[in-house]
Amino acid sequence: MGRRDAKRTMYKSWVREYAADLYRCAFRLIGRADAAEEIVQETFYEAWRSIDSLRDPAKAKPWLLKILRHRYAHWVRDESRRPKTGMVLDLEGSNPSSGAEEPGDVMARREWLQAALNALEDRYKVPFILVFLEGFTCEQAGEFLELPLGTVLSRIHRGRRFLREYLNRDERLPHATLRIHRPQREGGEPESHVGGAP
Amino acid sequence: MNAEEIEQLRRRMGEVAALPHEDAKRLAVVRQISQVEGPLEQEWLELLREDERMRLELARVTPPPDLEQRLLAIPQQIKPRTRWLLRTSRWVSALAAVLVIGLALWGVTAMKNHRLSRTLGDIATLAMASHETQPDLAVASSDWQVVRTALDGSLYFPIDRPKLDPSFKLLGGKVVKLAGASMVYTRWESAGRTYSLYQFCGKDFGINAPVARQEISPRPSPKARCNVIVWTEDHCDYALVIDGETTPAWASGA
Repeated sequence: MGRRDAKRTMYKSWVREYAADLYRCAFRLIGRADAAEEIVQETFYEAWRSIDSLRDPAKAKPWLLKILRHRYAHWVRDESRRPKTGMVLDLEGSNPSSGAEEPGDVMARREWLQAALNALEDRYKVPFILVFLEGFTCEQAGEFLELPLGTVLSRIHRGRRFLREYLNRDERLPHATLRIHRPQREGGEPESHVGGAP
Repeated sequence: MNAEEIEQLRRRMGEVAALPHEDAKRLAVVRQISQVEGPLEQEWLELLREDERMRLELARVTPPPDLEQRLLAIPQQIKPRTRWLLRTSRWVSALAAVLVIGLALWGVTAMKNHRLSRTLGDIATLAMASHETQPDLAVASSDWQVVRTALDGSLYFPIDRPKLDPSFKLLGGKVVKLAGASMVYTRWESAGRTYSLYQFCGKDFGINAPVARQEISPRPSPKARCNVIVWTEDHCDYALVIDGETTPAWASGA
């Protein structure tokens, strides 16, 4: 097998093993299917172009996630330059906490979860997703994000608390129409202010 | 355990819940919870249940069915960068960065030099114009101490003189103002030529560093050709105007 064939085989194995994971991660970070798809394609495009720069193929997934994180940072930057528009999440009539969850309620709850994630600042959202979705240990997340373990633990705790409060608060509003604005991502927010919106 | 300690434990519960089961920090918290009466145990279990539910919910995303196919098609559309190209591009980037930094430094230095030579040109022109008018001497004496004592106190910088050729004979001096800046003007004579020496404070003209001895060609004088030497000596700035076409060797610096 030639070197090029070996590269193709390795690339194909990455697509088969990690594409879905990366898509989930991108979707949870962004909250939009079209943008998540675009970022995953850009990630694999970049990975294929720089396949020779990966020294240890065993670390392919963290490497791909690093590329994805960069692409996501670019996306956030580009989005922040676009005019902000409010997004209305109309959940009229859905109340996820009332009794046994009906299929429709479950769907609503999922939407709430993504809405809560969208409102969560990146510094809390990224470690949270790495640990809860990508299966990183907190130590691995710390290495990946170049943060001390204590900071990762604290951010996960704050992120989780924010999500819980967000979900509980909105469960108390059965006929709510939630107006979500994209969180302000650049500086200026006190440490205790975990969510950027609504 | 008091209320504050319980609150601390509650916060630690939230932090360590995401750690692996065998983690020492987590085990320590679990041990603490087991020794406390009250609702903490229930909260801990609820927290773990909630985390698991969160994991399930987060993973509930279905990728588009054709995504894999589109990703697999990428290698057919483009070629990967070769290791050589990757390495070269790194070198080229580093070289470009060095070049940009070098150019920027060179630009800054060139700009500073240009500004300095323009200022020195202005000073030389002012000195030459003053020299041509031959200002009246406030103190006429060949004794340097007499001239210095007479002029001292009227300026904000100490009056001094540079090392001049021994053949120089002092005629006298006065304080003059050129372009708003005070200067000590002294007139000297040697071998039948007249010399005007101006001592000034470089900061008045925005010069903050010592000036290397240099001959400046001021704008052509309508009356006579003059040469001007500008330099810094012992923290004093001087401009010496010399009548005539040629500058004596000692004056040009050597």
